[in-house]
Amino acid sequence: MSSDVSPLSMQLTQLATDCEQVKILLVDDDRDNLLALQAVLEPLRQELMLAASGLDALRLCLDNEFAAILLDVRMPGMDGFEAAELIRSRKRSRHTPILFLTGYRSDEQLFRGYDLGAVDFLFKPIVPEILQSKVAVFVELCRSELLLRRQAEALARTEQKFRAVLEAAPDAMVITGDDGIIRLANSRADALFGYTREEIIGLDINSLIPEWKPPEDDSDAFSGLVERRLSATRKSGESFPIQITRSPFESDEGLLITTAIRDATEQVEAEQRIRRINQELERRVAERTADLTRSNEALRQFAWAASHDLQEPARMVMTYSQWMAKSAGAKLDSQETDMLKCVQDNATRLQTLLAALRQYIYISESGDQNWSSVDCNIVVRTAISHLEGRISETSATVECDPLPTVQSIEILLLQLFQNLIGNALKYRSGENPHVHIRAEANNGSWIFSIRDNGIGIEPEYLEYIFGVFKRLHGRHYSGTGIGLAICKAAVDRLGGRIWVESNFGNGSTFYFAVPQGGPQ
Amino acid sequence: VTPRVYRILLIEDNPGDVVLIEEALRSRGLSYRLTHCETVDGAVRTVDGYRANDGEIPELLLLDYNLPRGEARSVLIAASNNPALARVPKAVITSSVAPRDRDDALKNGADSFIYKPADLDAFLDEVGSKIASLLGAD
Repeated sequence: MSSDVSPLSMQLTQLATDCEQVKILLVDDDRDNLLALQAVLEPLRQELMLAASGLDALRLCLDNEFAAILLDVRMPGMDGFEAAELIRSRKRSRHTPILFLTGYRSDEQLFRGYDLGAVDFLFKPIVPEILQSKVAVFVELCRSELLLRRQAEALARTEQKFRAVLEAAPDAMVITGDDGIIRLANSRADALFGYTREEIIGLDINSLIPEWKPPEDDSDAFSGLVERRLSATRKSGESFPIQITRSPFESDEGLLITTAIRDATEQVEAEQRIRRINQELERRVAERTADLTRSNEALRQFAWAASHDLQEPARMVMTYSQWMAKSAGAKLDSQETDMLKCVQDNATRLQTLLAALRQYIYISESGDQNWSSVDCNIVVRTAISHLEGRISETSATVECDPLPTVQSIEILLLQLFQNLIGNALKYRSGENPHVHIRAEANNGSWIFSIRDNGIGIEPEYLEYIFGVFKRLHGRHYSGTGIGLAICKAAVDRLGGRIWVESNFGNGSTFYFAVPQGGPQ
Repeated sequence: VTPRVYRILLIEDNPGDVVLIEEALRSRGLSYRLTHCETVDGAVRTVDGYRANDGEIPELLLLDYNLPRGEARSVLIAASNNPALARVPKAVITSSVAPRDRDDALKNGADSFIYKPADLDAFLDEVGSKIASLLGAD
């Protein structure tokens, strides 16, 4: 290279080394001229191809793409203009810049040359710097174009990938700007809304989804996926339910929003079905409840009527069998006397049972009892006084720890303590009965316990004993079999629960828990 | 001395109780003339039929309150509405101990309440003494 390298040449050299080489075609029938051109352009470090005739040039143009063609005008056979015309006529080289080299200036030549697509003329003798810089411009142009083309290809590939992702998505996907204009859509979106791809691109998304809005604020945007249930409109005008998620992202084109759209028709139908089924179930439950309420009420009335209406005949049997015994007593033999006694005993028992049943019904019925502050110590003392006879008969001791004052219904509490203490006396073991009453606070409730040293309860009976007429023992122990059912009814009315723990042969402890706060 | 004969209107549908009530009166040595109604309709007609200065006006009205539900009440109401019976004691006789029944009877014009015990002796004693007391014969 020459020692007088200009700043331009340095730049060009730099450019040449930076980027890959482009091809420049030099065409001249004079071999010396060709070599001279080659020498001048060598510093550009591009690939120089030499052609000695227009035909050679054409041949090279078939296989190569050139950043520029330097074409001598005057050549034997096919001259530069003819060659240029043919080069231009080929698709591949239609836009390749052609610089004509000519020895003399003539307007006619210039017009013809520019007509044929020349971009420039260079006049001999060639000034190397001018040639270099002119060619360098075309090299640069070509490179830029190459670069652009590659970028475009890369972009196209990226878009292809992006599109592939879009297409692979299970949902319809639409990408919009924050203006709502659709930039991109996948084929599911086309199909879902009934548009062609061409139609859907450029549409306002609000014409598909009237309620669609870009994510409102930062928190919304950054949370990314925001699921919404909306209504959508097909091209045909038909509406259908959808579920969308929006996901905004920053791109070169500004904020873009990906909206994934799922047809929710089936889901909505399924929900409606479930709602219908639930409504149907609720209706049936209500019906069944009404039936049960009716039959419960009928049963209650039946029990009430039975317990009251049976009372009269039972009383008559009782009274008249006594009268019979009184008036005919002396005339009856011992067997007849026993028979009459049997009638009387059973009439008495029937009356007792009916009285217990009436009491059970009375306790179970809501209504006429009043809630008040009740001192349980006094209630237990009253219960003990009612049981005094049996306590002394059985030489029992009843021990009572200090008890709380509670919001309750006094008559029900009295019934509870009296029945439970009475049971402890009745189902006694060989020892003198000992009953211990306590209360402790537990988790918002008062738990009362009545412990005895009686015969206890066999485990298999523990769950039955609170039912009506559930007697575990025969006539050896008198009783109606309704006492514990009354206790349960009383505790139910007080909003509590009752249970028993027992080791058979080792006494029982009855517990009942009632809410500390009184009625709920 | 001819014994005083008391006029009693008895409204009672159970023949067993009629016999027992008469036995209770007899056991007290009371002479009586019983007007007995077995049905509510008959009782209401009888009660409505009494007029002032009518020699037949009873000295005691005895009403079984265990008549079919609610119906005994209409007899009481009819009796209370007849001025001729204003001074006649009206007693309800029942085997019910339910406070509800007692309150209902008192509210509808009964002025005493006689309980029927199941025990024979208790019945004769209780019913006999209450009736005697209401007649002023004790």
